[in-house]
Amino acid sequence: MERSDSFGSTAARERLSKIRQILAILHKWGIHTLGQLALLDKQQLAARLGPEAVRMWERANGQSNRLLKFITSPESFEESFEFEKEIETVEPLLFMLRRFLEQLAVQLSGIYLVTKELTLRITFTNKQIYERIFKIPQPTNDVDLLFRMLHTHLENFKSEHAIVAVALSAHPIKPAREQFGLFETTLRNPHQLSETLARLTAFLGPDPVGTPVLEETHRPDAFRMEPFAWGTGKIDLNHPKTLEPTLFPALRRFRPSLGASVLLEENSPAQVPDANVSCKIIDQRGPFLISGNWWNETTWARTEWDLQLKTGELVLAYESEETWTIDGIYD
Amino acid sequence: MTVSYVELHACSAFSFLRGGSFPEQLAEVAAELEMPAMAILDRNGVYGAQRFSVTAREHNVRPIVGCELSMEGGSILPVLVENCTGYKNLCELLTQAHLRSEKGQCVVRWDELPRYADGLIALFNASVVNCRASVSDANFSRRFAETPYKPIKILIDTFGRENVFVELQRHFIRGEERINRGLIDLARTHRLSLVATNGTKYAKPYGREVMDVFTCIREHTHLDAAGKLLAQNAERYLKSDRQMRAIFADLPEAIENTSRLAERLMFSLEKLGYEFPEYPVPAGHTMDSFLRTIVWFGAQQRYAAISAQVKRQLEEELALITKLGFPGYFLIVWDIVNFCREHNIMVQGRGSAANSAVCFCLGITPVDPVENHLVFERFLNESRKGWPDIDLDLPSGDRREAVIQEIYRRYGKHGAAMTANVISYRGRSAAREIGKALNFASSIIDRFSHLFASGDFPHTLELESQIEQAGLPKNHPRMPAFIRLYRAIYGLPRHLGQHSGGMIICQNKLSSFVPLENASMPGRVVAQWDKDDCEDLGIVKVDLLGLGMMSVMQDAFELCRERGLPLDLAHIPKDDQKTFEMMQHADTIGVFQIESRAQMATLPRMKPECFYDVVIEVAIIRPGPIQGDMVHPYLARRAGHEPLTYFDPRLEPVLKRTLGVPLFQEQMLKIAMVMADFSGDEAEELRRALSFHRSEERMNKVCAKLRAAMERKDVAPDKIDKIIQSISSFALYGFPESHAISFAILAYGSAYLKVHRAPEFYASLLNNQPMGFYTPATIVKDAQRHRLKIKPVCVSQSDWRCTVVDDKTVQLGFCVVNALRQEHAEELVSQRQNRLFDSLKDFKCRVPLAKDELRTLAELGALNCFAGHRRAAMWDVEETMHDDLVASPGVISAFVSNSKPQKQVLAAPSASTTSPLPVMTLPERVKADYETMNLTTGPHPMKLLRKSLPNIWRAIDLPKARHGSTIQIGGNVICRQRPGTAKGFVFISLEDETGVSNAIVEPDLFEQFRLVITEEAFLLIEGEVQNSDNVVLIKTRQIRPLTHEQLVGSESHDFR
Repeated sequence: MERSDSFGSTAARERLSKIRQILAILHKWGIHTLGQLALLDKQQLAARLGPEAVRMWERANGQSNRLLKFITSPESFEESFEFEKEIETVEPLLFMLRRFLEQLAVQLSGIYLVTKELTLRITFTNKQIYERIFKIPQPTNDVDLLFRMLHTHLENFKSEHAIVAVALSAHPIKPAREQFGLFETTLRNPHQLSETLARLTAFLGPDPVGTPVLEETHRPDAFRMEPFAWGTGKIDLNHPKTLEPTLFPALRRFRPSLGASVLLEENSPAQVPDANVSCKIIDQRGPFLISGNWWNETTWARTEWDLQLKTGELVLAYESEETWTIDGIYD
Repeated sequence: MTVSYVELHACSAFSFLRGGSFPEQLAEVAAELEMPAMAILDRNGVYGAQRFSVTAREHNVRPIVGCELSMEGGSILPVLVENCTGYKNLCELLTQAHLRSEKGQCVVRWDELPRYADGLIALFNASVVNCRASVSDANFSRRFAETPYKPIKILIDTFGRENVFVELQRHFIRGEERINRGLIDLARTHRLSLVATNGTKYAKPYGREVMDVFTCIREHTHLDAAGKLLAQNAERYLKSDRQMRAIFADLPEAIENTSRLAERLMFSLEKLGYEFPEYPVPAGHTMDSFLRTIVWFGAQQRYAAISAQVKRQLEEELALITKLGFPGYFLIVWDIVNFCREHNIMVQGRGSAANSAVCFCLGITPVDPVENHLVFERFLNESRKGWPDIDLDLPSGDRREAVIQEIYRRYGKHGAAMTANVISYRGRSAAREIGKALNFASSIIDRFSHLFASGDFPHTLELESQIEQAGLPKNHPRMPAFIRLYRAIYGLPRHLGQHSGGMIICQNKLSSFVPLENASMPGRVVAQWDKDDCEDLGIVKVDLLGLGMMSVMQDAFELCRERGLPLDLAHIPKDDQKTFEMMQHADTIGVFQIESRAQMATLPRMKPECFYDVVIEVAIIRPGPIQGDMVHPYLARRAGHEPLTYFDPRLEPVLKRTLGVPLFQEQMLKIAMVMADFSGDEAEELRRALSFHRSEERMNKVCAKLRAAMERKDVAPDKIDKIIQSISSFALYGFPESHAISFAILAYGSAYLKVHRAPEFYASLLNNQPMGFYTPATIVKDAQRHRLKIKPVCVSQSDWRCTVVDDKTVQLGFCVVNALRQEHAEELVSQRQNRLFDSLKDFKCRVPLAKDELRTLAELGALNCFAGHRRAAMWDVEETMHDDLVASPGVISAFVSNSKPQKQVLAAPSASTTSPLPVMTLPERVKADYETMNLTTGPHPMKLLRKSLPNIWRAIDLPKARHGSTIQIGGNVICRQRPGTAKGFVFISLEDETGVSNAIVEPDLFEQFRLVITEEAFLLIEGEVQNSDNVVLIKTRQIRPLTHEQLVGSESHDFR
């Protein structure tokens, strides 16, 4: 059950604060029980503490009801199963999950809802639980589609322990009816993209999949991966992003960077005797010293040089922890 | 001749969050690098210049003064001082910029630069290149727009071509060469010289970490989020000639120019040219003759008959004062003292001035140095370089402020200033800021603050363990950084405050000698140097120190006069037995200086019998003598338990008065003179080392000299060791005898008042809170134990201040009530004086109190005169709640001027009815008293619980406890003390209804119960009785919080 006025609204907060203030005064008055409150004169109380106190008095005297709103507890859309015998292959699991999906789809369709999110929980013999949330790019109750999503994920799923139980819960939502703007594009098949991402994640692990976002740090090329989200980066037509004109040439980074050996002469790089970029250095700029994160274990430091090779290429090389790396080549 | 690189652009930590090293550190590293000279350019000031200069000169580095100016438009312009004119101009310019801004803000306008440019050298750098100043002056703004190379042309026009240098910096950062190439082109175009600097921000590379943390503090962020705000590398450290030559190998002239420019910058702070103001003497007089006249006139009044000794002393002193050129100084201090007298402000000179018969005759000090055999040389001697030190004690509060404002009035806003007080990062503040920068959870930072709360207790725990206790595991990846940073930041300046009383004044504009800025307190101007810097530079300082007890005594004397029983300090008999008896019983709560726990523990052993005993009592409880192991010998000798011996028979005349135990600084100087043949000069050096707590090195140097001199005189090694040990302990906490006498006068005077004028004394003591060792709650209880009746606050009786009703009764004033505004209380009293209140309704209509204030008054019983009891008043005051909308409370003027119509509205609600509320019980009343006043006139909370605590001893019964037995004590914690010299031991004072009991806690036990001890208001302590000479101390074994719903107490005063 819930209070009639929505909790957290400004009016409710003000009322709560008023009630607290009245309670503090009542305590100072030596009024600590409902009985003591009920014995006070209503009019005199109203003259002193106002209508809120009168409401409290009326409740204490059984003269008013507090309006309560009936709230049904949220329905749970969850299916689970404990295997009689531990299972070690994916087939029985998939079989069970398909049944769950069919059940959930029937339940949700019956009340005109679609699945927005699925949560898969697998319990192993060592009592550990594996949990994975699947966000559905376009909410649906299409069993095949949802199953394919689970199947893709479980294809490469490995565990040291056998499975003893599985549960699947669906988080429902009303089906969306959205009209796009004239110039807005949408994904032709969001599920396909989602599936592709799932496959990539399954193949590469979760870390390298997503959208790279540059970090605000001096560390060159530092970025973090954020989950890929279609259409979140809307263009602000009033404040279009423009690229700052730069006097530096563009750098094509080697990914991954090339390890290299560099010969030094008088503490400056003189030659790169390397298989990939073997060449004499005819000019260089540097060193450029950068370091950071000295306050924890991710501390880093590098000494960068811009090197002009005899071949005409201009490369960026750096030394870090006594190892040389060619980071990229300038256009 | 080879020229060496000179760093011309370094910021010290006195750039406040923009530099990571002390100026002294920078000077030392410059010396290590064999730099011939170096410049300190702090941001918008010369805060660190003097400290830097002193250390630099000591290390043969020539100090250069400069400053980074924050210019209008956001650029930073570094300037260097070439000569005296330049320095004065810089000070004036900074003063102008600071005084028109709020504290901490300073912006120099481009249009005011030409007026102050003479004698200054400007460094044109990348910050100025990009300046598109939004200058306020229209003409100037046009020039900015019209000039092709804008800022550089302005600088050339302002400073002259030969006084503008183009500054190049190389920190191995990508992109900086492009800027440097632009600067070089500009220099070539305008025929300007290049100069290389490193823009130094710290002495050694590790200073980068401190700077990164400071950046976070400045930008209100933490290291994980600061991103590109942080430094790219650690290259802004002080670099050697070799390093800088390598960096600027392509521009050797930029290095050589540093040395050439440095040769031009010959200004030194030693040649400041400061002059103390002249005193305007009557026609026909010089300052010398006038001083002589008034001294002899004063002598006739002070002495019944001027003895030959007095005459000789005065002549000697006057001759020396004339010779040293100090008559003006004495006249000006005399003038301030006269101002105080004329305005009925109690004043008393303290410190070494009390050694001077001239000061005594001028009425500056109350101590007769001839009668007390004080050493004049301690005050003034020929070899003394600085000004004599006269400190004036004044009543704290408004009266002292009146004197300060009078000095500002006389010398102008640019002629006088308070000296600065540098607030440094200490344990808690350093840990807090570092914790925030390292992005620690606020719970850890808060817990650390709580654990090490209350006056930054000196720690017995390793820093790692402290932070571990606060919730950060020892192996946390950021722990090493925390420890490194804590050590690096501890002690660095945080911001500039104002000294509690040090004022400097000047003949000409003071703002020509040191930049002045606004203090956060309105009407106050503060100099950029602290008192030690001013003393080093020969700028005379007059200390106007506020003493709460002076205020108490002056108030008490006024109350005595009002009651027809006039009394003043000069007429208090010096041999009052009752006063001494009270001291012997350690009944000294509220008495100046001898009220602390340590003093109270010594008094029964010391048993003062005459005034000089009080002088010794004041001096004996100092950290110095404790550290030097000197207290016990004196007391033991006094009690006859130990024979009277001297370090050496030659010292008998020096140490006889203190039974062979050196207690005063004067005795130290005499010992050095007798045992090591120290000359006046050397004794002065020793005195400065003793009082100059800043430098341990200085002390070691003078001690080595003393040792060598004694060895030459064949003093036995064990005697030398003893003498050196006692002198070293004084270095930390030196206490001159003259100072002890000045304090003893106040201690004795306040004790006399407590014995003979108790109501006036207690009323004044309560009126001047907070002050002293105890809270008002303890003072009220002490007054009650002295059979004084303390009447509770009452709207029909009380004034703002506490008043005396009769010889046995004090009426509490509204000043003890929390959250009652003074102007409201005064309006209440004024309304009552017009016509007495006839009912609560009448009171509410005529006195414009806010609802909360009314509630508070009702709760504490101040409205009982209108209602039967507190709750009845509480019931009645709520009646007008809804009329708040009609008459907004707190607006006095509206109320007073248009009260009639509102009166009717307010009076309209139903007539007061009998309250249906229950009467407050006694515990409820005590609780309400503490909640509203932090004190109670009713029973002590412990009395209410006494029956339920049968095993707990009362404070009054403790002397009966058997030594060595185990007992329990309990009460309200009124004081926790952990003296720095007590090796981690903690003293806790617990108050109950009968008095105060004391316990001592060992360091291990303290660490075990740290939070209980520092946070709980009531404690129950079990321990072993240590009873000697009726001084009882409980050696704690067990400690636990005493919790009960009825227990509400006052807050503790915590000390180091």
